[in-house]
Amino acid sequence: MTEAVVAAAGVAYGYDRDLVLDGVDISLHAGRVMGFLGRNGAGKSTTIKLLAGVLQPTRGRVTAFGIDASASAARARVGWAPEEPPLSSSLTVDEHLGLAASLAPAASSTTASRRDELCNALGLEGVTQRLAGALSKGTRQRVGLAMALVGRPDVLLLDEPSAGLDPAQVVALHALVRAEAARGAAVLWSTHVLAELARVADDVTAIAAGRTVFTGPVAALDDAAAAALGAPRAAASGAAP
Amino acid sequence: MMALLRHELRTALWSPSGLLLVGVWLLFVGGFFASELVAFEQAEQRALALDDAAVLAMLDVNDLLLAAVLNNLVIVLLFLGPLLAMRQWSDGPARLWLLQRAPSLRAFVVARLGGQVVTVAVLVGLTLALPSTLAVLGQPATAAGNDVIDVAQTLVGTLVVVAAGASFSLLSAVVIAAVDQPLGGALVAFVVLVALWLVPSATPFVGPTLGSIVAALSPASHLERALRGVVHLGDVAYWLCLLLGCGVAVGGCVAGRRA
Repeated sequence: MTEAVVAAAGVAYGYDRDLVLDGVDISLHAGRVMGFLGRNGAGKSTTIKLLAGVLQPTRGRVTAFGIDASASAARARVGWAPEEPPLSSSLTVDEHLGLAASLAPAASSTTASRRDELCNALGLEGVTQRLAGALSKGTRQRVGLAMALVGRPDVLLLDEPSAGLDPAQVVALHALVRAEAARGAAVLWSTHVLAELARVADDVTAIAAGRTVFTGPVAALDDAAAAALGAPRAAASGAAP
Repeated sequence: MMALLRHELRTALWSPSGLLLVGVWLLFVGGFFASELVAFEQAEQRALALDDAAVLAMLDVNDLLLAAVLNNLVIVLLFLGPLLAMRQWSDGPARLWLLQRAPSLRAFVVARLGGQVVTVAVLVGLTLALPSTLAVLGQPATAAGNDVIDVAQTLVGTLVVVAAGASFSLLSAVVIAAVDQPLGGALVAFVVLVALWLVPSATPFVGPTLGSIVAALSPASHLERALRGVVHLGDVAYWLCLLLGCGVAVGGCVAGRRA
């Protein structure tokens, strides 16, 4: 496997008595999709914010491309789709994509054709002139994903990307993400749905109660999944490699 | 950074709620201007009818009409500043996303606060249409010559209103960024602003030395000269320090929230 492009080692976040994360290890590799599994409240979104460079760890280190993940050179190469899409209700879909394209490091090369390509892939063709405030949850979700993808980032952090999408849209998204990985992007796909990972991910990292409890190939997940997703920490730790 | 600034302005001004804000603002300002103008003209007509040269000499359109309107705008901005800041900072997930995409924390803060300052500047700038209308369509100068609009005084007065409004908005942004709660922060900021505004009235109770210090801290003490067209270095320094201090404080609060 290639060297990790994004890595978090022994990361903790929060205050001493109220740690949201306490020992998260995760690494993303170019051309591979990493599933990120955990129950609601396990700390997936906080971990993703740390990987995206918007939060700083209390302990441990998060690096992207060999430098601190919060450095602008690192953040510029990371596309992040938060669980709640980052939309302003008074802007149209097209304006959101334009904003995301203009904030991409290679803004000049982010052509209209890339936006059209994403709109087609995500089924947004008919809503580009509509205000975000008038969109359904699923459409908002797809706009958020398009905003993360429009700059062709080297790393994609997708926080519960399939939430609110119908089955056909989920299939299309899987294909799009696989295509991004084939292009060479390192992808993190966060979910609490086990079955989804088998279809889209190459590897899986599972966290429980703010701690990494499993990292390995999807095929090895079955034995560890139960422990990772709800067994007592002692049992879960036993399942970790 | 320009992309961020464009985004801030697009959401603040060129949006349905932004245009509504501009409309309501113009309605308020137009109302103030009309009532002040009617009062001024009535006084002028009375003085002309009585041929009272002393009163006519006192009726200066710049000091009694335009400065009064601008002073009213500052009071409106005392309410509007926290609202503008609250609206701009009520974008939770979008704010974090913008922070992630921004070239630097400084670029994010400058664009966001720049958006607030430009929004206030546009709102106040639109009010220049009122003296302009008066200059074009107003009555010819009286014998005393007090009906001639002093362009420099009007511009200096407008600038200080922009500075005051921007300071109110940025001070509110500091509180909102510190507590990370737009509504609560805006309410606290409003209370702080009103207290700062009224603090000069407390000077008789705290002695002359402390009183002068307290009065110097209040925005109300740094308006009057500029509204009369006087550019005073102390006033300029006060507004610049307030604006820059708020910018630095917001940057510190946003950076602190990331840790």
